[in-house]
Amino acid sequence: MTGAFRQFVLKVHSRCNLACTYCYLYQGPDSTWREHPARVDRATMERTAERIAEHAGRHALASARVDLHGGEPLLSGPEAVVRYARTVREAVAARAPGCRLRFTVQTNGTLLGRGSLRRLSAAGIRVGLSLDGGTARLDHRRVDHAGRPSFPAAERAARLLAAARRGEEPGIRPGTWAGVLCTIDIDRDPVAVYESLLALDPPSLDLLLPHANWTAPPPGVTDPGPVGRGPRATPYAQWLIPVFDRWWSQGARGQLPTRIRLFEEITALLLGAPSAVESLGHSPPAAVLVETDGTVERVDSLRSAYHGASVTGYDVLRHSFDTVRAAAWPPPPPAAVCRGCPVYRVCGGGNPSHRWARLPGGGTGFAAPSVYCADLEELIRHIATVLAEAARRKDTDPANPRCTLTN
Amino acid sequence: MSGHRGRAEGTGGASPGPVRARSEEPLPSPSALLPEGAVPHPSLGVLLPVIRARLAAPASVVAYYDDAP
Repeated sequence: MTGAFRQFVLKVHSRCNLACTYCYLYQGPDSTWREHPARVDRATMERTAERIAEHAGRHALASARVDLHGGEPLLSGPEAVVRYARTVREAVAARAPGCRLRFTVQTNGTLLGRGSLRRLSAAGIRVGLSLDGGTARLDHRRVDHAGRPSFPAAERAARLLAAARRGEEPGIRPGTWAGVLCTIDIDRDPVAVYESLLALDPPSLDLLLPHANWTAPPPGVTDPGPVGRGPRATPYAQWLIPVFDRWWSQGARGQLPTRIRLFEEITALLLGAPSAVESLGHSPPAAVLVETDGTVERVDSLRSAYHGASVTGYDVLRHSFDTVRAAAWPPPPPAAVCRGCPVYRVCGGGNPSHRWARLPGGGTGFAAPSVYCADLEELIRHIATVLAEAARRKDTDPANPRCTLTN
Repeated sequence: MSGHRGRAEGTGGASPGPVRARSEEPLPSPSALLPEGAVPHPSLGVLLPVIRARLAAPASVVAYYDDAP
């Protein structure tokens, strides 16, 4: 496979202080995380940084993303996160000085106080928060190992980040907050979830379909039916469409209240542009993951399919990222039914993790449509309809210049 | 509130809703969704700079992974 990795997901700590009720990582079929040390050590940081620098130099990368993950990465304290970022930055500066790095730490926010935030911000590390709603009731599934809600601590972190965004937190850069990742809970009112998160003023909001597949159906779907593109209920589309409608209507004054990647990517794809997410469209995958012991893996979400699904057999001690990409990176082929589907140019078959199935011909694999196929199609067609209706309107707004896709 | 069966208080018991038939109708073309010379919806106007940048350099666009384990 050609191309290069442009996103490096680095595990800082491979355990978590939360036990979210839907967590695919610690409560799913994969338990390989038990084989990895809890914390990344300095030697692994240095070797990983060298491999990233080697890759960036070899491919003359102009930019790359470095996402510091867990588990909960801040279980090692902010210094470990800062040290890992600094190690990568120094190695890349030496071997690929033209490569601009963007660092983000993805955290549950429970360990994120003002001191930690200042330290991360000073190191140029942005912060992504995982939060499923903007109230304790809406975020109820995110609990610690004793069942206690994580929301009060996470909300404090969100409010600090929001204050920093407004320039009200000395020592924390306004651009420190990267946004919120929200895993959809169809048992909660979608607009209530959206509005509650919006009240926290995040710069972006990702609405994530819970990781599921044909053998482990999504929450609320007891039986997804036969593998394929058949008629079925669409509870996730029914949840997402009211959020899209509310969000879209809020752009009436030429500004959107926050970015919502899922909707933006579908809109871009409908207008013929490529997508920048792996869960939609046909762009080449950018991400590779390095565990706390230096083993190289595919992305975590694949672990929701079966034990060992993310394992490659490679590690940064012995193998370059080019070796990994050439030998162990076949993207799952699309299902035959997908190639003939009128929506395929937008959905791209959906998130690879959601395609795992017992296949009609026997065996198992990722060569199925997404278990969310019907939901994705309904959402995509809804957004297409909204765009088409807007295009048909004769009334014009003098505040907006006439335009085409290319001007 | 949206009228969705999910509730702010999450009392549970959501049903998956009605079964939906699938359509073979093609999606509208990009030019049908934003005809030349049309005034974009204000929300679309916000998104257009990024979309145009991608259209101008499609080979530079890659698929990033975003997840929250």
